[in-house]
Amino acid sequence: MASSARSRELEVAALPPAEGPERPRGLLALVRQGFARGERPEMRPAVGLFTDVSICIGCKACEVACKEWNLLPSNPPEWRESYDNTGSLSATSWRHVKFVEDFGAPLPPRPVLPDMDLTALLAEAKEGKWHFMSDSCKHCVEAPCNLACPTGAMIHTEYSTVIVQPDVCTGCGACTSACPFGVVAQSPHDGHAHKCVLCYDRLRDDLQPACAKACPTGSIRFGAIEELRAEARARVEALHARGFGKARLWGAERFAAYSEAHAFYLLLEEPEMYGLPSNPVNPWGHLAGDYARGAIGLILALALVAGAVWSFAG
Amino acid sequence: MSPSATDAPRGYQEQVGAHPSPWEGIVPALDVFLHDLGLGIFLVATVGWLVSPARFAGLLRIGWPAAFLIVCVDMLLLLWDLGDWTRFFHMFRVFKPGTPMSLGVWSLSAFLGALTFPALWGALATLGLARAGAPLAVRALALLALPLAIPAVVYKGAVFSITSQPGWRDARWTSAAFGVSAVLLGATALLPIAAASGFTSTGVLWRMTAPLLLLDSAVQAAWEVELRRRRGRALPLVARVAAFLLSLLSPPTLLAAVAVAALVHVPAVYSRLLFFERQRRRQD
Repeated sequence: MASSARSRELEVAALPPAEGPERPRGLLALVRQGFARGERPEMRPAVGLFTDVSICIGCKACEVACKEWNLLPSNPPEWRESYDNTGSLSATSWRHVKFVEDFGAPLPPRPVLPDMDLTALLAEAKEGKWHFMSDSCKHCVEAPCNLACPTGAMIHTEYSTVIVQPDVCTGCGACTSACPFGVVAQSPHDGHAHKCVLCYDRLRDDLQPACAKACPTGSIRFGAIEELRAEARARVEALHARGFGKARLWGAERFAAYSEAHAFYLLLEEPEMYGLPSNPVNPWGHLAGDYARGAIGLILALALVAGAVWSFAG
Repeated sequence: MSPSATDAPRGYQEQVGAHPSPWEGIVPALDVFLHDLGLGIFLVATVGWLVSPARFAGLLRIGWPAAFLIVCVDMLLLLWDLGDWTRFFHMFRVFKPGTPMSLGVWSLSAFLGALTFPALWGALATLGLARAGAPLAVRALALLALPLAIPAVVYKGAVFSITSQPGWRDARWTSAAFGVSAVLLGATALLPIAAASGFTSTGVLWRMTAPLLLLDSAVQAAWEVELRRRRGRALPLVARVAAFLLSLLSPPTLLAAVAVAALVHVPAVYSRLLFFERQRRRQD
């Protein structure tokens, strides 16, 4: 399996570069290109990512691989009180490894060199633990960003993943405002929206996404969505059997007011600790009611206008 | 660097939620104001004309061009507020009525398209370059613009409320509040125009402001009560302070305060308006 994946990588790398679409010349051609439709690709089996935080080691290989493959600029160095120096998902960081420090009470002050006793240090009882979680776009089945997009720039692909078509985006900000997970972000460089595209170009070449490829522990797993869900459920059961009673899946099943996600997580603690809402809400659930309230309010006001004119105009 | 371990566990609880909306600053506020003002002027003038053509015919000559110009300026503001304004035409690639922004772009564009000739006629008639009575084609186009104005008004509130932004996401009455405010704004903006021009519609416009103000107060109260009921989690400091101040008022007392304000304010405004109307009639 591993060798066949490697040979596919080499095979694709040896292919001559594909020719891009012809650049439009003139204003009319540019406008026409904006309305052009390619052929709808044939639907493929739905794929996704299963991120098992219980075996994430916080190495950030996924972040680096994502930046390298997608040619994303590096973040300016920013030191926080944590090993997390990415901060949040952004237009230039489509992967974000979160570091949660779970160390209970503050640690007592330790002697520093030259008084440090390494033997004593090694013999100390292990207190607390780290939680790592590699976050990215959830590729929601009913994605608010997709529903919010007025230009069709945000689409579901033939793999049931969600991508932004950067050449169509106007930078209106509707998707940024709609995403409840803080995934989509507007770039200060080009004004357009950007987010993880689950390496759409690699998927089309039958390769797995760069993050999954780079993950050294198998914490980020790529595959057919149903297989991943079955694997995830089995993993939760195994963790429960080993005493991790709080282990749970997030996004593998439909929430009360939100669809299931095609990038889902196995968490060891409450979702909020990892920056995920326990019960996300899709704002589109309110659309019909908000439209109705608006229309009724407006028509009522116009009826008052008509009534006043009718009564007083004689 | 060792783990600082000051709080346990130190997670991402504060980061749960959406990125802040890029719609910030004065432009969105100006956009809502101009949008409501322009469409409100058109709606009040046109509905008034449909019910009482004799009284409102004169007002159309100013109302339609004013509405057209104000909505055009608003569209330019929206264009300027885009991340990449050179791609505005991409908004017409798809029509998604389930997407408030798409509904807004299409309905506003269709509305402006239909209102172009009525506005042109109004401007020419005001300058004395066209006959005072609107031609049949102009009236037909204005009638076409009327149903287009309704989604053009309603979408604006939904653009803000159908998001994951704290506060807005819980504001279920935003569309209704913007809609009623648009009509109220339209009526109050037409009032000085009608009064200055000596149109016979002035008195009617004065009289409709009181019930509109009451309706607006009721919707604003519903908006606030709904927000108070839903708000609570992970709000920014300013919103928490506002929530605390509002928590001093329970829903019944809040409603009572709005009712008392309306009861005091509306008769005061109304009696003043009637006084001015009587004075104007005496002058006539």
